[in-house]
Amino acid sequence: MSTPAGSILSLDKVTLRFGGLTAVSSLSLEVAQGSLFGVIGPNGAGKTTAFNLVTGVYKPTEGTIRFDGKTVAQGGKSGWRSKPYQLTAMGVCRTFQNIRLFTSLTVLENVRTAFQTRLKTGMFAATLRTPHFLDEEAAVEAEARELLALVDLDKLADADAANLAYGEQRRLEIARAMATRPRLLLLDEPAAGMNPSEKVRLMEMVKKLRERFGLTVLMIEHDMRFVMGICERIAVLDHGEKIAEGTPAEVRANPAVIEAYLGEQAHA
Amino acid sequence: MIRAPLAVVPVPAHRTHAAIYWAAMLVGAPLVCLALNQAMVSTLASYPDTAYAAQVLLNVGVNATLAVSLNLINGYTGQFSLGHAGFMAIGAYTAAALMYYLGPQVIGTTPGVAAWGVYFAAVIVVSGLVSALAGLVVGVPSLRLKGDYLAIVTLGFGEIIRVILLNLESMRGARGFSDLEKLDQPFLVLLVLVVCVVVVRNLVSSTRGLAFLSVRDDEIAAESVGVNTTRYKVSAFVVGAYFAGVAGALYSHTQAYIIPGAFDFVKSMEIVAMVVLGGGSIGGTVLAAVGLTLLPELLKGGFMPEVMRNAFPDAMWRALPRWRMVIYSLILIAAMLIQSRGHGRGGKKVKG
Repeated sequence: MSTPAGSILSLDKVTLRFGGLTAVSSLSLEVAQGSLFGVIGPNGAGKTTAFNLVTGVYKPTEGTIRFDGKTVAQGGKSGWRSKPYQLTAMGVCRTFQNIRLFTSLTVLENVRTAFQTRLKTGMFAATLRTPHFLDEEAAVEAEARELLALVDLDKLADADAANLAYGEQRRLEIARAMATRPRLLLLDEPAAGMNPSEKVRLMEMVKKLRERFGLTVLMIEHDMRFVMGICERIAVLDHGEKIAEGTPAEVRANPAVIEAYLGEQAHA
Repeated sequence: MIRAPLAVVPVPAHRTHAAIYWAAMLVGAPLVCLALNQAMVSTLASYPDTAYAAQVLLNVGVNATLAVSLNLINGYTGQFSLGHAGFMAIGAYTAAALMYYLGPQVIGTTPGVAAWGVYFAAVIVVSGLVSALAGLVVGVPSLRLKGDYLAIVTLGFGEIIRVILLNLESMRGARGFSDLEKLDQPFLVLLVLVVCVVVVRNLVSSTRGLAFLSVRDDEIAAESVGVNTTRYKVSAFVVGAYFAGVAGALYSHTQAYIIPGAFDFVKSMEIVAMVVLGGGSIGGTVLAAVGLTLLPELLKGGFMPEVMRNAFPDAMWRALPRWRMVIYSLILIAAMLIQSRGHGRGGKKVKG
């Protein structure tokens, strides 16, 4: 039952079926504390579904998910899952493949919204504007601006989030996720739609955030160069099953991976 | 659970700020309302039809409170409620019953203005609380329902309240309460509107309250950053219903006459129209409430200066009342068309 030492996230034979379709099949993963872990695989391999299982969007049909030694989702007849907002409170946060910002809010407000789980004062104090509430608001704003500076968006703090350029929106989503102070950050295709220089910048930014906040990062990514360049360990999914796992070099050399996924890339 | 704590530093200036704010709210706001009250009363005294003008003014205040409170649910939280008249009815009938049945025991049959006012102030607070409780009950289905489905459920709720009141003999059925004390000065109405605006504004501008807006913008993203969306939807209903109840309590005594029919679907739609026309912001909602309350009166020929009256033929002024609902509807359509082009800071347009 115990999680191997140093593992922050562990999936134990997790299966998810939608009716007759098995989206994720008996997936086991151990993500080491502080690591940069990549999940790759062809389209429809179940990568995003695996993310949705970890973040509490779906309940596993079978298997167990543990975060930081605590069971957060359990399959089977009497299965249960923690809700996304509960996982966020525990220290799991994510970004989305198709960016999901709060489009009617400003850049700064987007980040402020993500402080919910760290606030001590409630709606009542907010209504009454108590001194403690004002202190907390100042602390929230200061930290939100700091996070925006980390992703180079501090000058755009008061712009409408909807008006940001694509790359800026991606960075804002990461800053927003960081405001929840996650210990595990899940990035769903963070480099999608970015040009090469933006990708380099993103890679540096993720590394910087990991060092500064002691993060563990789990990412789904299509861009091979990006994922091989940044991740220390990679799992390959195909048809909902894990077909390989190891260091980038090991994965690159694995014949099953080449056949399922890298084949086309290797020739490209 | 280990959370990275916020670096909260107690700032002395915030103590001063809070003290000034509270002084403004507790002393300043009532004084301003009182001054406005006196100004309005003396201005209206010189008006040819004082009672009528006062009534319209009171309606404006009550409707503005209703619209601002509905804007928290429909505008900021993005939940399409069509049951606001139901909450209003609960507040109105609670207040009527407390004044009519309980009032004589508490303050006697011939109370002084002060005793009546204090008791009535307590009654409107209680009416709001009863309505808020109903908001909690209605808010629960909103956990599962969205958009059109939620609209139908809240519509049903409003109608159920109306039909229950129609059949309650203790609430005097279809006859309603026709002999309530008349509240004919705007002081309490103004004060309630100010409190409602301040509460909603403080809520939605705070970090905690941004959760309401996040639910409207993207529920999945909201959950992912730690917002318990269910809790905020229900909270919006509870706070919105509270002020609808308070507004209803005021309505019952500014009219001095309530019947279940006054709280039908049409009343809910009127408030929704104000919220949609208001475009999402609090100021816009208040303006829309003022405009849509005054418009039918203007079309009846009310508040029309002599110059205007003389500028058009008498036949027109005689025909106007008969056509006023047609004109009202046309103006509403035109206003909506113009409004839907604008994009206020209220953000996304109110769904409707």
